[in-house]
Amino acid sequence: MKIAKFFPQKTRSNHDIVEMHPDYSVEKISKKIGISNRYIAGKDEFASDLGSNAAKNLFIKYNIDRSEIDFLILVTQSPDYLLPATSSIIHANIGLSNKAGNIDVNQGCSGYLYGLSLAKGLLKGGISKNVLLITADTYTKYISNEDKSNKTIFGDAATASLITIKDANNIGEFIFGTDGKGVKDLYVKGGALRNTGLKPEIFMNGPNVFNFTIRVVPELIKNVLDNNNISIDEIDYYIFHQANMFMLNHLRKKINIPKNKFIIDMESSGNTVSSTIPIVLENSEINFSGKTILLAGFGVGLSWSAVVIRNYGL
Amino acid sequence: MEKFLKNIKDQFEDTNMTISIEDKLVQIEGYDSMTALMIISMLEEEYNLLISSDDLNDEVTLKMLFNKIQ
Repeated sequence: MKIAKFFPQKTRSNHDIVEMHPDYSVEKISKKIGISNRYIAGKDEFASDLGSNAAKNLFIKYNIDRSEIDFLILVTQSPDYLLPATSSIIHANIGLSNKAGNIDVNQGCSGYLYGLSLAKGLLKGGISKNVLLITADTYTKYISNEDKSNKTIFGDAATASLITIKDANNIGEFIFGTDGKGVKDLYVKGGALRNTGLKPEIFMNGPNVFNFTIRVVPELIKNVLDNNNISIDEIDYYIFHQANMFMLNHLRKKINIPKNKFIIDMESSGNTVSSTIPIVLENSEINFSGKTILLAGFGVGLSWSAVVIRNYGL
Repeated sequence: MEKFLKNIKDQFEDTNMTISIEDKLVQIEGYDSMTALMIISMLEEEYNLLISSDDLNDEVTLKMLFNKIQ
């Protein structure tokens, strides 16, 4: 898989958060959650802008002929408009062929896995040859001025992945799951049709989301290993959705994953929702080439998914 | 009970603090959203007890949490 990322220019450091909330112990909290910086979309910068820039970075980085892309999947929960799909805007921005299809996927922390599974289906089903999977979110626009907790966690970002049939052949069996009873543990109540008078502000019940991950993720990992006929030791790297370091360390210990195989990489960009996993994969400090990697996403929905990729990038 | 109180105290990372089993969790100085997560994590790791936000409401005392692990 070929991956590129894009961050907005504006940043939010711990120092910036202290200035906004002088009584808030941001240093103590950020040390626990492992985040010291976040990128923030500008006032006139939206998911389509971030996603288009990530795609343009991908085209330049790998000298990709955009005319060969025949399907665009965009994973976002902060669309430019209620309709049309934000992927239509990106489609035009990056100059894809009129013969290339497009679809938006409304998933968050498990979204990259959803995108990968759809790409695999399109490629293995002979419907597409080159799928462009973009993740792009501007969650920080949903955070109210008073909400210091979510300011500490979330950042904006976009990624673009080119997936071909060669990649799809290395993508193993997926596991999916949903618990819609937890919808209100992480949601934006206003902004769509049900509550038109309300501002679109994010609410997160941290304890319940944490409780959910402890309940669901260990079993998710067990099931995806079983479905892929692979043992826990045969995985070279585990890349979980980078929710926060504290939660990830709890899960790692509970599942008994060795520290050196478990990637935590969010200090400089925070929780970027569906972009965290491809950001880790793109990280040039680790050579994932040829490795067996387990990806797992979990969060808003409540939704979860995992997959095993063999011979990554070969 | 002493061990339980020590485990709770460790989550506040304040060696000088004093807490009592009758204390309401939300009234303990330094309690915040992060401490809440740390307490959930500790209870799960040490006592195999998984609590939700309902178990951490404003009326919850340390005694009520202690009773849950019995």
